[in-house]
Parts: sequence; structure tokens; C-alpha cells
Amino acid sequence: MTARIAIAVIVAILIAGPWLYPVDPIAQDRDAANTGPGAHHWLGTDEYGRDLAARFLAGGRWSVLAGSAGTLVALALGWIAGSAAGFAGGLADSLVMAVSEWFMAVPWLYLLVAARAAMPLNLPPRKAILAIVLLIAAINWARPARLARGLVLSLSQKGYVEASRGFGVPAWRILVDHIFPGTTGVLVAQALSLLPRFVLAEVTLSFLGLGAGEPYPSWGGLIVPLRHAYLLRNQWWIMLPVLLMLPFFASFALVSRQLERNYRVSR
Amino acid sequence: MIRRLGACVLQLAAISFIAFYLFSVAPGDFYSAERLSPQLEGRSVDQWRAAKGLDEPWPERYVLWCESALRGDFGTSLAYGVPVARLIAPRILKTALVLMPSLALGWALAFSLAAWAARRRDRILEPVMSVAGMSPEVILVSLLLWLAVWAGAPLAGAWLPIAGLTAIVVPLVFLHAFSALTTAREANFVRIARSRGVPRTRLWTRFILPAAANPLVSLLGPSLATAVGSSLVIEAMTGWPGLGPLFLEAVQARDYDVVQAVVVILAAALTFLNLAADLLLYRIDPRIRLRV
Amino acid sequence: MSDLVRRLAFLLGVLCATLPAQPQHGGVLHVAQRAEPKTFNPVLALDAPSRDVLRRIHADLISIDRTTQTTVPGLAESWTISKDGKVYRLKLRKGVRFSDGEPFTADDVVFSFALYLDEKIKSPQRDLLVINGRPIECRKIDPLTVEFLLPQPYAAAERLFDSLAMLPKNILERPWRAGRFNEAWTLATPPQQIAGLGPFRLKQYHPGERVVLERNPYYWKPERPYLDSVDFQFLPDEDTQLARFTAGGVDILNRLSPQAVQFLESRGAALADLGPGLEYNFLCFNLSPGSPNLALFSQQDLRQALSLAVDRPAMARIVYRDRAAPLWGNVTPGNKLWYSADLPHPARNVGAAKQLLKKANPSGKPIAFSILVSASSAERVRMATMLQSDWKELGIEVNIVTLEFRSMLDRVLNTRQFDTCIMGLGGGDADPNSEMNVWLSSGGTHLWNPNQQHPATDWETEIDGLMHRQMITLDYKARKAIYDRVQSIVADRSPMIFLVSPHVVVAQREVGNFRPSILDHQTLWNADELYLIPGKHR
Repeated sequence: MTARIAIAVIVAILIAGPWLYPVDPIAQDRDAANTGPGAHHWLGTDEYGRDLAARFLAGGRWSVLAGSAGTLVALALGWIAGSAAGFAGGLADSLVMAVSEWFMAVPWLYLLVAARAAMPLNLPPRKAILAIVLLIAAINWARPARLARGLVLSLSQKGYVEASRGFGVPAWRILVDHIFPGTTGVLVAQALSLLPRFVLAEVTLSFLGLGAGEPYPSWGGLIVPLRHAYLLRNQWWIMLPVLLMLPFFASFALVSRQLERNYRVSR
Repeated sequence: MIRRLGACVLQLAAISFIAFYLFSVAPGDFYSAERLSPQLEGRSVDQWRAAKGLDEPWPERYVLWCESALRGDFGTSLAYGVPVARLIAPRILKTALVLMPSLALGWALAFSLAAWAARRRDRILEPVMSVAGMSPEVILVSLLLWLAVWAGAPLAGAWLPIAGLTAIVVPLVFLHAFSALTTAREANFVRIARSRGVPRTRLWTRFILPAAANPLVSLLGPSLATAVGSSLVIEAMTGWPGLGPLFLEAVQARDYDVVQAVVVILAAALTFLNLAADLLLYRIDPRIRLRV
Repeated sequence: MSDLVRRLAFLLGVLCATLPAQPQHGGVLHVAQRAEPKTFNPVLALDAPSRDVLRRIHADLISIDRTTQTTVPGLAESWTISKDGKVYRLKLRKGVRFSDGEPFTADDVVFSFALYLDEKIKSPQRDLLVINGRPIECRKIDPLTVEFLLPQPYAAAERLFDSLAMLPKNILERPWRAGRFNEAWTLATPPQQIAGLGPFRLKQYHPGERVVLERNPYYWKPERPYLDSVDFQFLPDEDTQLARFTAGGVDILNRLSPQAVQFLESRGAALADLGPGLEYNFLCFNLSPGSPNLALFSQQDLRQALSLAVDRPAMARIVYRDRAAPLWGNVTPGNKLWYSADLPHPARNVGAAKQLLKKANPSGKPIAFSILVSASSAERVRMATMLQSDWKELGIEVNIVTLEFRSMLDRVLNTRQFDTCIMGLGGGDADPNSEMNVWLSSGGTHLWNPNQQHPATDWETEIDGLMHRQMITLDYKARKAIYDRVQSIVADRSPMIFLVSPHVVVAQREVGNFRPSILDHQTLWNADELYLIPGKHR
């Protein structure tokens, strides 16, 4: 329960950011570079003198948005593919499952690094990153697909579905009226479980230098400096934005595990 | 069974094709960095490129690669100038030296923790492990590294990469084991057995654990996949001479044959492990036998 | 009388204290490297890690002393130059032996050059020995004398010999004649089959982990090397290098990032800051035909306006924590022989920049373009971010595109699909001849408009002429005047906006005779003189 409230509060703070803390996250105050938390900069500044608290709020908006977009695409693709496979059965089913296995086995990230180069240069950086996040989502459709397939398989064996089939109800109606409602619970649980992962996918991209382009802030960009743990010795405040992110991820984790437990269907 | 093997081979072929395509299509190639050197003429670089066959269109190169791979010849490394197989063999051994203990340790630790937490209906470990599982491995290893320095522990040797890899495997396995065990605990037949007075230990060993076996065995494959993926980065970070540094450097340098060989070998290992896991599942879970 | 004795005693004491400590023989020096060598064959070695290791095993005829940046005798104890500057006659040292005991003679020299110039082997060193399309010829006069014929007088001829390893004919001739030279001296070769003339010889190679060199008992300098062994550890990650250095497992660190330097400083490590090196970072405009923004960038006023609006000192301060020199030309202050002190160093002036901008863009159309930068270079990404912020004040929108290194190179050198890019050059020699391909309009690394058939502008024609002239001018002062003119044309026309040159900073633990230099190899160039200062962690 507290987890759900926490999520709502966090999202509200992120959305209300510019009004709560009206500091420009992009403005460089070079004389105040690398300073710790103080009256003017609540979380301190980065190496260019940009306010870390403002970057945390703005970056959160962007990262959560990108993560949500990625989650929606991955789930939509996976669910449609998996449900169709599970319902149709036979060759279509085997084909979709085989393809999903291929997708899960290829080390995409290393190979994707070069995909950025194939995109036109005059794409504004945000669109370029959104494109990559969506691309990652498209690659990660495999696991939701398998889950959906398993779910739909067991649901289609239920009595009322067999009966509908026997009555000659067209397949799409069966899907819409009987199957999909049974899957909504797991769908929501999946969405909540995937969202933090996709927000973090942006972190991995940032590590490879492919995150949100400068100067735009993102949570990935704020986590990357921690890569060199020794920096904490002299600049301990770079840990603060990351600590503030923890409640977000922890809450999502709690809520999604609860939902998964409630709606669990044995595979 | 034959059909399953056939599907595996097809999968390997598809993966090798996808990997080859993606890597060849990326702009730039092995000699791009040399073109930047003012001391080298562009002509010389072009000559090298032609001599190594990099000017050929990628479908032709893929066919050539397939032909030689089937003969056991995985090509030659552009950087090292030696056959890829000879280059990779000692590295695979070193990676296995880190991978096996980490997986064994990770599974043992995670499973014990999960069993303990499930019995006590613990509510704290799960979210902690969730968040730990989401942390980027680079940060975990960096923290581990500097902790070791602060503690005065030796930095060379296998223990650092093993510790890092274990730290990555444990949250993943814990979460699956925990949910499998708690689900099994709530199952109807367990509740009946409990109400009939079956003692706690027997309840766990004869009812709950076997019921949790299915999702756990299914986890073998994915956990190995995650471990292998993470081990590449961890080895590169800690200076352990396994596949990791070799592969990552080859990807950056566009050493096509090395990357292709590593991808295919890893995919093959994972595929066959999944197959083995499925067979194991088939044997131990009667529900699957009956359904099929 | 006793007063005099006391004074003498005091003087003697001072004298003893200032005498250099005697080098101690023995010990293992641990050096950290980013990557492992790819081959033990100096003729084929392409990458820096291979060269770094190989140059400790092999020796050259004439070396460049890294502290004075001028040439000194190596295996050649003296040489004469003919009046027309085309014939160099080198006298080799007597009694020199390879690390396997075999004698070194002129035959080995002739053979080595045959390898480097062999068109079938295609050595990366070959292009250095080809001047204006014609290769240098090498001839044996007698067992200790070799003659080199240059196709034309060449100012930097002596410097060509630096780091060209002299190889044993008796070992390498057979694979060469059999056409299998590419398989000679690979990483799989047993150490006993490799022989060189350097201070060390190969002892052991552990794939992916380390390569260990041991002292060469036949080294031609008496009493050297002092060290028993050099241990190169391959640690791709800088954090791990720092950790091992801090814990005592590594003695020398090269190539430190600005954060690493700050960390080591706060730990009280022995850092040596050598001032700006040879590396120069710049923003280059795409001025090739077909460039997306050619109409905009071909206006010199625009380029100069952008250059005027850059805050270079802030860049040095923020990107390199003050360990960098702002640049207004391509030669850095670290290049003592060729740095032109007469170039103007205008401070940042947004007002003047705006005026120039108005001249270039009178209609006031919004200007927007992209900066391409390699994702793996954190420092250059930071430079791009700062430029973005600097130029925002001029009302210019800059879009930073980070690409993987080779993809970026492909766009800049091959497809030319980019607006501007930030890159760095200058790893080689300090001599202007090593950058011919950058300044000649026909050059492949003439980054703003490479591989031109005819120079596109009159100032590029002028630069071409000047560069060709300096190549054959033998008098240093005259050459410097010519090259100064090249620098001032480039600085004025601004096809590249020069940014900063990072300082070379290295770290060491208890290493004696440590004399780092800004030239490659910064810390190990005098490996034969290094020794370990006895201390508590030996």
C-alpha cells in the first residue's frame, strides 16, 4: 500500500518539478562547478556548474517517460505476438516461439552501439534516443510474448472458451471477450515490473555514451559518474541523486511483486 | 527429440546470420582507425583492406564464413593474425574458471536465502534483492574493487571477478526461487497436507520444494545467459584474462571473425544448456510428461 | 683552523647529499597497459600496445632523445651526410650482439630495411620510408658500415630511424623467403625464437594477462639495464589500474584521465606533470563539396566568430581540471622546437563575435548545426558540451551527436556526412613532416576537405607550397619560419577551431632515473636506465 502511495508521490514530484524548484537544469554556472550541497544548489553542482537537483527532476521526467514508452511498445508487441501464438497453436505458435528464442540469445547491446550511426545526424537528440529506447523495447518483446503465450494457452483450455469455440464464435470475439480480460492482471504486473528495467536500459545506454544527448539530463547520466567509485572520496554528493532514485525503483519492485503474486498463473 | 535438435541448429544458424549482418552493416571497419593516422597513406590502408577481403559484400563473406565454420575453421583474427580458434580456446577456459564457481556459489547462496526467507515469510529481503538486481553491474564491481583496496585485499586473482559475478547472480536467482517457493507454499495441495498435520520439514522437502522445481530448472538457462553477459564486463573491469576483454576489444576494433566466433559459441552453449534443462524438466516434472 | 675544518666538513656533507644516488641493480618493474600486444613482429605491429612492448626488446640505429627532442646515436655510433643531403653513411658499433648471442652486422640492417620496404608484407612503417613516392635505398658498404640513399634531400631524415627495430637476418630470413613472414613472431611464438637488440628480451607471455620481459645480457650499453625484469599487466579499466597502483601492485601509470589525476593527487602519489603534450584537440568544419552546411561554413567570418566565442581557459579548467593549455594554433606549447609564439591569442569576446556573425548572416536566419564526437572520449564530449553552451550566447543551436569511435571515423574520413566534429591529433613525432597529410590539400587526413585533386582555395594552395618547401629545407631556422607561416594561415582562416592541449601526467612509485617525456613512450623510453628505489614495499 505504501509502495503505491510512494509511486504516486514520486511521479507527482517529477511532474511538478519546474514549479517546485525553478532552476534551469541546463544552465552552466562555471564558477560554481563541482560544489557540494548548499543554499543555491540543494544537491550540489556537476562539473559544468549545472544544478544537480534540477537535473534530477528534469532527468526523472525524461527517463520515466522514455521507460514508459519502451514498456508500452514491448508489452504491446509481446502480448499480441504471444497471444496469437498461444491461441492459434500449431505452426504459427512454433514459429513465434522460435523467433523469440533467437531474439533472446543475441547479444544485442554490443551490436546496437553501431546502430546509432545509421540514423540521420539531424535527428534531434531526444528523438534519436527515443528511437533507440523503442528499438530496445522491440528487442525485449520476447519475454512478455512467452508469458502471454503461456497464459493464453492455459486460458484457452478453460471450459467456457472451448464451449465458445464449439458454438462457432469467431476467434477474434473469443480473444476480446474471454481471453484478454483474463490477462489484464498479469499485463499490469508485467508493465510495473518492466518499467523500472526500461528506465535502467537508458542507464546502460548512458554508460556506452549513447544516452540522452548533452545537455539534456537523464537519470542514466546522473548514475554514470558512479562508475568510478573513487570519485566519491572528494565529491560525495554525486551519490545523492542516485539515493533519491532508490525509492522509485524500490516502490515499483514492491508493487509489481505483489501484483505478480496475486495474479500468478502456473505455467 | 530429433525435431528439438533440428530447431536448435536452425536457431544457431539464425543467430549467426543476425550477428554477422548487424556487425558488418555497422559503418567503419577494422582499418578505420588507421586511416586517421597522418603517417599512413590512404592507399596503404585500402590495400590492407582489400588483402583481408573486407571489400567483399557481406552476403558473400557470410557464405564464406559458414563454409569454413562448418569445417571447424573460424577464421583469422584481424588484430592478432592467428586463427580464432587458437585465440579463443585458452580464454574460454579462463572464463569457465570464473563462471562455474560463481554460478555454483550464487545458486547455493540464493537458494538458501530464498528458502530461509520463504519459511519465515520475510518481507524485507525481496525488495532489497529487487533493487540490487537492477543495479548496473559496473557500479557493483567498482564498489567491490575499492572496498577491496580499502580492506587491503589482493586485487589480482580470481576471487574478485567471482565475487562480482556472484553478487549479480544471487539477486536474480533469489527472486525467482523466493516467488517459486512462496507460490508453492500457497498451493492447495500443500495447504491440505499442512492441515493434515504433515510435519514442517517433510512438508518442505516432499511437497514444496518439488513443486518449486519447475520454475527453478527453467531458470538455469536464463541465469547462465545473464551470468555470461555480465562476466564479459566484469572480466574486462578486473583484468581477468577470459573471453571478456578479448570480446569487448574485438567489438570495438571490428575484428569480425573473433566477434562472430564468440557470439556463435556462446549462443551454442546457451542453446544446448536450455535443451538440457528442458530434458531435465521433462524427467522430473510428471505434469509435462502427461501433458505432452 | 678548526673553523676551516668545520666549513670543509659542511661543504663535503652538502656535496655528498646532492650526489645522485647510485642505481640499484635488480627488481621487477610493474607497468599497467590498457590492452595486450597483438603481435611480437615489429614489422607488422599496428597498435600502440604492441609497439610499447616491442620497443623495449628492440633497438634502432639513431634514436630521438625524449628530453631534448633531438637525435642521438643508437646502434649507429656516428654518421656522415653527403653535401647534397641525399646520402647518409652510418657507422655501426662494434661487438654488438643480439639477445640470443648472435653478432649484429650490416647484413641485419640491410635485411631489416628490406622487410620494412617489402611491398608484399605491407608494413605500416613502409610509408615513412617512402618520400614523394620513392623508397629509401639501403646498401651495405662493409660489415660495420651502411649507406642510405634518399630520393631527395629530406630535412627530418635522421628522425626516420627512430624506433625502426633492427632485426636478426638469421632468424627471420627463412620465413620471409618462404612467403610466411606474416606468421613469424606472432604471440604464439616461443620466447627463445625471438631475438632483439634492446635492453630487455621476451621471457613469458600469459594471454590476456601479462607479458614479462627479462634483462638482455647482451645489451650493448655497459651495466644496463638496471632492472631484472619488466612486467606489463593488461588492465583495460582505468579504475583497476588506479586500484592496483594504490595497493602497490603497479609501479607506473601512463595516460591518466583528469579525474584519475585528481584522485592520485589527493592520495599524495608521486605525479609528474610535464605540461602540454603534442596532442591538439580541435573542432573541424566539413568543407567538402556535398557538405550539408557548406554555404554556411565556407564563410570565414562565421568560422572566426565561432572561434572568438569559445571560452578556452574555462575548457582547460573544467575538462582537464586546469591541466591543459588553451590552443589557438595546431602546434602546442609543449612542442618547444616548432611552437609559434607570434600567433594571436584573443580572449573570448562575445560582442565582437556577434558582429562577425552579423556580417556572415545578415538576414539573421537561425543557425543550427551538429557536432560529431566519439562516445568513448569523455573529455571531447565535455568540450562539445561547453561549446554548445558558449555558442548559445550567440543564438546558435548546437546538437551534439555521440557516435561509436569507428562509426564516427567512417563519417569523417569516408562518407563525409557530418557538419562539424571534435577530434584530437598529434600522437606522433614533434616534427612537422609527420603531419604532411593533415596540411597538404591532397592529404587523406586534411580533415576539413581531404583528398583534393587541386587545392580548393588560394590559402590552401599557399599551405601546400609551404609544406613542400619545409620538407626539403635543411636549415632549422628557415624551416621554422616557413612552418610558422603555415600555422598563422591556419589560425587565421580557421577551418579548424583549436581548443586545448592536455598536459601529460604520469605517476610512479619509487622508480629511480624516472625522466618522463611528452613523446612516446612517455615513461619507458629510457627503460634501460630505470631502477627501483629500495623501499618498504619491495
